Amino acid sequence: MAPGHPYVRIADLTVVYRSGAGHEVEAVQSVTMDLPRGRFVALAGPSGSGKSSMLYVLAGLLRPTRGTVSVDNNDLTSMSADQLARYRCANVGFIFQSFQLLPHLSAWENVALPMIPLGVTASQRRTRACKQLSSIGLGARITHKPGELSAGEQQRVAIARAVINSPTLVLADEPTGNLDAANAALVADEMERLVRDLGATVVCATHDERVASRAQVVARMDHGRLVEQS
Amino acid sequence: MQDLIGFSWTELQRQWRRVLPGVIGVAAGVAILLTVLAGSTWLGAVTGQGILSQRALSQMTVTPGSEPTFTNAQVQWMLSLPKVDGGYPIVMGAFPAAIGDDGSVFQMLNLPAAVDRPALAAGSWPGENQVVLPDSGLMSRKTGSTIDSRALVGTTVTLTIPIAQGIQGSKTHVVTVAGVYHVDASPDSFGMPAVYSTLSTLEGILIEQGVWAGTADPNGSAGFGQFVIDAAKPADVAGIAQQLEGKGLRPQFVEQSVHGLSSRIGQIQAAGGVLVVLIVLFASLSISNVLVQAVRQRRKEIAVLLAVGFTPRWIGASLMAEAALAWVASLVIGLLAAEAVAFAVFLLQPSVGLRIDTISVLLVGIGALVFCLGAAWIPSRHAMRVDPVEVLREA
Repeated sequence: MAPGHPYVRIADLTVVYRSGAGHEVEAVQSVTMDLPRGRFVALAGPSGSGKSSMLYVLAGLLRPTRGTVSVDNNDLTSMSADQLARYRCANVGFIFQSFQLLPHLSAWENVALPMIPLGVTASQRRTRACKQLSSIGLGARITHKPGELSAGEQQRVAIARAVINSPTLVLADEPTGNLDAANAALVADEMERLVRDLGATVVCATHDERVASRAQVVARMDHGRLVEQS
Repeated sequence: MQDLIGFSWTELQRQWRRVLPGVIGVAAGVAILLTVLAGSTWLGAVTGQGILSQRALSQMTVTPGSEPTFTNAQVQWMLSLPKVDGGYPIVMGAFPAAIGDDGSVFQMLNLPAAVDRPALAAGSWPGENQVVLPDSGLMSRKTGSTIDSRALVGTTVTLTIPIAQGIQGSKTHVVTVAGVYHVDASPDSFGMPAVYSTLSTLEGILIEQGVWAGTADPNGSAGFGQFVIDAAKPADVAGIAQQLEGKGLRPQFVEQSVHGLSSRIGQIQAAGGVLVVLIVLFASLSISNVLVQAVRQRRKEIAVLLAVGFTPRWIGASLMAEAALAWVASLVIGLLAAEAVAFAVFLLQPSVGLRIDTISVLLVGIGALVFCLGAAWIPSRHAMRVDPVEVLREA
């Protein structure tokens, strides 16, 4: 599929959260949009605008209340839980605002985690994880636990984990939210590199205009609606 | 699978302090159950090799109550009872007996003294069939003369023993007397080496001869005060005993001690079983509780695993694998503990050989595995139902 062709198709996407008390919150309301392959896409908007929900749907972690989502012509809404897990493992890398590294595992073990479901051997996992960490300047930190790393280093480990299986879709949820300006810039650089070198589609939910300004496509959301796409 | 086990093993190591009580509990249950099974097997073997193997469970000893000896009618009645296979008298005391060259032993004392006696036709006593047998020899009832029983040695005698006199006729033996048997006598009491035999040999002869029914007089003494009845089956003993008691006779069960022992074994087994169930139940609840807590504490970790591509099934399987690994540890510890107990028992009482057999280990092991996996089932379902979005949004 050539760059620029719709890689992600979202049609009439609606996500409604139901609280235990029976209240309903419409996080995403009838969003329809196409995202091209191999682009850096920023989902911009204030907190509570539905950006994260959009990412969770694209990751196959959240089933939409209504509408359809397809990635690379695979309809996520019709997949089983196991199929979605396999889809995530093979195609999706997820970067979280709070890194979500497992504290009892070392840097390389965290990076190697997504390779376990693919059946990669232990030795190959270690080799590839160490290589990946070295490529982002963390070669000296491979055996460090997350608690022994700075916030910027933790996020780079999280990015390494997200891309270790060479995903075609990288989803980042406020990846610079917990970082200072310098580290935020490094993360933005890294996401640009993923697009440039891996040809991945990066969808980054952010309210950081400095990150959004570096994206090739910016979709702005407000109160669950898509209000602008440029 | 290797990754699953490796992952679960890492988690188990991380959680070992919490898992330890459950592992110890299951191990204790395994050890107790294996020891109880080994003990029961040993007791069963001991009783089986002893009383049980002699058909004691189907036998009972009967005494005539207040009377010193049975009457012939009583003996006949006992033998006519349904489900009675046969019987034989227990003959004890000091008495001489003629021993035939075919190995037969003939009792000469404990025969009815007052009335009909076994016909004893010996070459040296033509026509003599009325003899009494004092300790030192034979005495003719016709002449009153006492004959030294040693005179029989080397002679050919015809011994006619009324095996069921008045009922089935008699049995005749023509033998050359090889020696004289005298219980409780010194080897030289008759001026010649005594030939010793055992009471059981004599009883065996009487059994071989068939039913000892005493004399033709129904009210006459059968000549013995103890009789052993063989029931057709162990289950028949109680019913036969009830009928005997109804007639004023006193049955004594050889099986009573066995039965008591069996009951105690059963009680030990039951108590051990209850103890094991309680311990293993506690242990499985402990394991279950640990895993439930672990799932709660690891919700974020599980959510991350789901987010990076682990399937819910894999997550559930990893918890089951943790329980299985805990089971392996419990089984090994329990087996070692049981072996240690068996060894300690051996050191204290070498005659008691407790052996932990493979089948017991397999059965107990399978049972413990079921408990462990059962304990992990609900937590693993909980883990599979973790909503990653909810957890990650909380974070």
